[in-house]
Amino acid sequence: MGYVGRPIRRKEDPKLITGRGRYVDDLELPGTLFMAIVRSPVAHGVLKKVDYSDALKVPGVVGVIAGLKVKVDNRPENFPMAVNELLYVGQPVAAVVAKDRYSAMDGAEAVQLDYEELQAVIDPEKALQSKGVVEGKAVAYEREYVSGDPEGAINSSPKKLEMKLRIGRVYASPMETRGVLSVYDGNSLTVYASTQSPHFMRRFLLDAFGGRVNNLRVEQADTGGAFGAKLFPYPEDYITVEASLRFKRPVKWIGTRREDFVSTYLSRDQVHKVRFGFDQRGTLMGLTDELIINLGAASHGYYLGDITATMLPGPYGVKNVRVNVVGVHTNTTPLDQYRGAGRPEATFVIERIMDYIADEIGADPVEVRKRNLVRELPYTNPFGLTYDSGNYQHLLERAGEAYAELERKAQALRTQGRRVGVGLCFYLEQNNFGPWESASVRVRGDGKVSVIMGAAPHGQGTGTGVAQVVADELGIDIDDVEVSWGDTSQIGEAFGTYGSRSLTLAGNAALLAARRLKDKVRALASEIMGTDVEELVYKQGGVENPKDGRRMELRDVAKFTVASMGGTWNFKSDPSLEVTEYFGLNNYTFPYGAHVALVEVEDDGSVKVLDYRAIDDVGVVVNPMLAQGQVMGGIIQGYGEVFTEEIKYDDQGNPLSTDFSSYGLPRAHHSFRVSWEFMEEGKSAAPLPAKGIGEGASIGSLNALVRAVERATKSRITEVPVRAEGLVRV
Amino acid sequence: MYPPKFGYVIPDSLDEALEFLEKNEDARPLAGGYSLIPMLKLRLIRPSYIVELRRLNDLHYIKSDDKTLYLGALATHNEIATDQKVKKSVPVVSAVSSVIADPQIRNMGTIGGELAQADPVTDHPASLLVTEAKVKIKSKGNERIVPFEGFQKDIYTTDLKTGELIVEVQVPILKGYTYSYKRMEDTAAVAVLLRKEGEVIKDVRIAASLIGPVGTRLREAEKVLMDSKGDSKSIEEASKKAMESVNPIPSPRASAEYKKKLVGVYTKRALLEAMGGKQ
Repeated sequence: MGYVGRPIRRKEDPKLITGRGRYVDDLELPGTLFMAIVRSPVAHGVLKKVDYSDALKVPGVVGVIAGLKVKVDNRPENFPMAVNELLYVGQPVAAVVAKDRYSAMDGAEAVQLDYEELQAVIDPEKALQSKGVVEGKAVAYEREYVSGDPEGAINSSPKKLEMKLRIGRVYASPMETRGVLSVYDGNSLTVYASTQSPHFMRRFLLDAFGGRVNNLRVEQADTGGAFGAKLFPYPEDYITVEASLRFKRPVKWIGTRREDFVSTYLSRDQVHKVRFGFDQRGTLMGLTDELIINLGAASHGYYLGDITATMLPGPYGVKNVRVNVVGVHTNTTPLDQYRGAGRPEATFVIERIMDYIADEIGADPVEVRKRNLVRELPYTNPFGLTYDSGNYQHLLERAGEAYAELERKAQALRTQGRRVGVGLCFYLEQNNFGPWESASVRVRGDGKVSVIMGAAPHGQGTGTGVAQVVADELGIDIDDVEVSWGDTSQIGEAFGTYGSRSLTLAGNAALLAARRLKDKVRALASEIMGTDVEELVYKQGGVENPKDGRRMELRDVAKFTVASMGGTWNFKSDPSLEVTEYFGLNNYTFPYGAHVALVEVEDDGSVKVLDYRAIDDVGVVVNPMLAQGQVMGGIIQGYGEVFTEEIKYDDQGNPLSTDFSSYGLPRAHHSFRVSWEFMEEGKSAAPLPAKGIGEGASIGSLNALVRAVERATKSRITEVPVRAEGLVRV
Repeated sequence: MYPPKFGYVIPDSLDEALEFLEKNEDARPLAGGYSLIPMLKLRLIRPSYIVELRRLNDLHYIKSDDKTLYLGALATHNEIATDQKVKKSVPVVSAVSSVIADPQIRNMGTIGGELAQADPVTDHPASLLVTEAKVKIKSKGNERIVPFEGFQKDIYTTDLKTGELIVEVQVPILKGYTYSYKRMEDTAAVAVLLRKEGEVIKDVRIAASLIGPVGTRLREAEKVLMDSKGDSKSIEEASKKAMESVNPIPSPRASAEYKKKLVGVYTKRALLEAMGGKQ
């Protein structure tokens, strides 16, 4: 009886739900100083002077850092601190280090900034017509993707449409805000962080500080959610490390929620001006898209425009496509990834197009999608992405049944005068952003197996999934497998957890390591047992010789290697029972699925989800309970993105969403029942053919919900969030 | 955020608290703290002293006689929501208490603290306006009782003077009334209290809260329904009047216009429910 495929409870949970989690702010080291950040109070300005003389007089203040500059790719010159130009509200300008957080905050308050305010640009479309938004630049990134003859195809189409779509700006809202503790001992540096990628963090910190420290170790503390927002370099990472080097004491920075709102990279924020042509039967012939992505006050989020562009054709066979990506600067917090990262945006746009085609020709939305869906896999899309495997038609047929069922329900409710509607979204997702991941499987002297992986989960339950895979492969009890991660001193190199990659890549690395480990066990055991290695088979947690029935358990082999101290090692096989594997795939994986929602729009404009179906094909599902959790969470996040969340600014660039009363996260009473089913037709080419489930639901939920509201209110919706204001009926 | 330095005073008695508050103009009394502490942490207020009220048991009670329900200023939302006397005698107050924020806040937040803080986004004003509750205020050597209507002047502004504390909220017990409370959290709410004789509405009270700046009685809407049978046409008209008579403040998540419309929607819903006879 194997573990893979079973709903095993998360091994990670007991610690986290009994208050024994160890987050950065729980770490106490003797002599730790606390750092507070002085942030720009205006969206745009010339910074003339930072006067911190009064701050140094505040009792408890140890020192102040201002004017720190570090060169980091795709970050402004004024990074990690504003030196001569203030670029957005919340940008770090100075840092006060003190013996405790209260005096640090008092010190921060005493720092005086002398600046001259400049015109701030907030609207991404206005940014296109502006100059000098961020360090003299307005346009940060441009790239055109063209395939076939899009204009020709549209012009010769019997029907054409144009529309402008907008996807609002969101905050990732991790339960734990960002935080860093940097410890310098005069020689080596250890950084504890709330991060998705300790190894990547180590590399980017080495780029900046490598010349000043002999060794650099990053340890991921328990991390309370990230959703993409704790992956890339932040100003505070550099400032905290700099402070610990300068003051030669451990330095801790923990963002308050308000700081997190204005400093953590925000996401989405795209405008699409699309034009498309189609025939009478609903076949999409050609598509152009002027894509504007609001990158804020840095350019590092540009790749999200590329992902959106290349995934814009989605699961459909349209060949003639042009996407012009323009990344603009505004005087707002920089943009980066959030669960889905470019794919929700692409899916929203192409699915809106499918719905509009259906409306225009009066056809069933399922039929229109059927007509356009790619039929044979693998398939290379117009921009060179090769969709790997599966059966899109089959999944759509299943979704069509659910759609028809919910439509019947909706019709019955409509006769009671209720505003109800059903929405469908078919999504295709690009996963497995690599290039690779590492894992090490080690049998300890007591026979327990320790797995160290390069992935760095922070709530997903990947440790449980990997334990299932390794326990199956080695034929041992899952309780004898301990999976750990997050410490750069434990495994050489790695990338981390993002882009639904951890089980696919780290899981496969662990699987391959376990496989190779079995060979080592056989080799060593054959010498111990005095048999020919070819006669031994690995079976159910040990090796045995089918000829004579002799057997040696894995733990006995492990114990044998450490049984005596002293003496000599008299075997040809080396005594190590550990194997490290780095695993990469030569293509992305492309999971896919469909979401169907039945919603009711109430008189006050609030939207109640009455029924929700999610159908996914993500290859092999290692743990359906973990996968279902990902689907549920993603759908609720999607609900938030569609109905309750949005980061807003006033015209001067002052953020209006700075806490959870001004930024509306979906609450418990918004939640609803989701029926989830999965198919396992589209397997990846990896030994463990899982494709990734982390983001599918945050991709598929947007258009399902939007379309349902559109049908309920008989309107056209071109924007998320969908504001309750627009749905109210007095 | 982290608050600036402040002194923390734990008085032994109400008199001691009142005396200290009178002498120290920038001292702030602390009840449940759910509004005050965030403001302190955001450094929006910088009192020299915080005067703790939590341990003053003589402000912590729920009592009633034939005519009036007496809520001590330190009665928590949860206590009010679950107290059987409140449920029986003024169910609208109980119902409103039970939907305030979340259990943690209901366990800490107090009615006196809520009213004195006058945060625009609170629930109780609607129920206290329709019941025509009164507020008992004490200062050193002085005591006065004022109608709740008019007590809250503006956002974070009340009738309280330096050295004064709310000590009690007095809610008249009204017999033969039905009620309803409809709302969208943090955005808009309407309470209705209604008494019919036969099929005719003999008394109706409608009030809005959560919309800012302070809770409001909607008398224009009430007039429409008085001595009527509350048919759908008059309910529509009353809802329209309710909507037109409020002047909400916008919040990051809802415009003033939307809040007005919500007052209309909830007035209608609350009237329909109260007409249906929920007691």
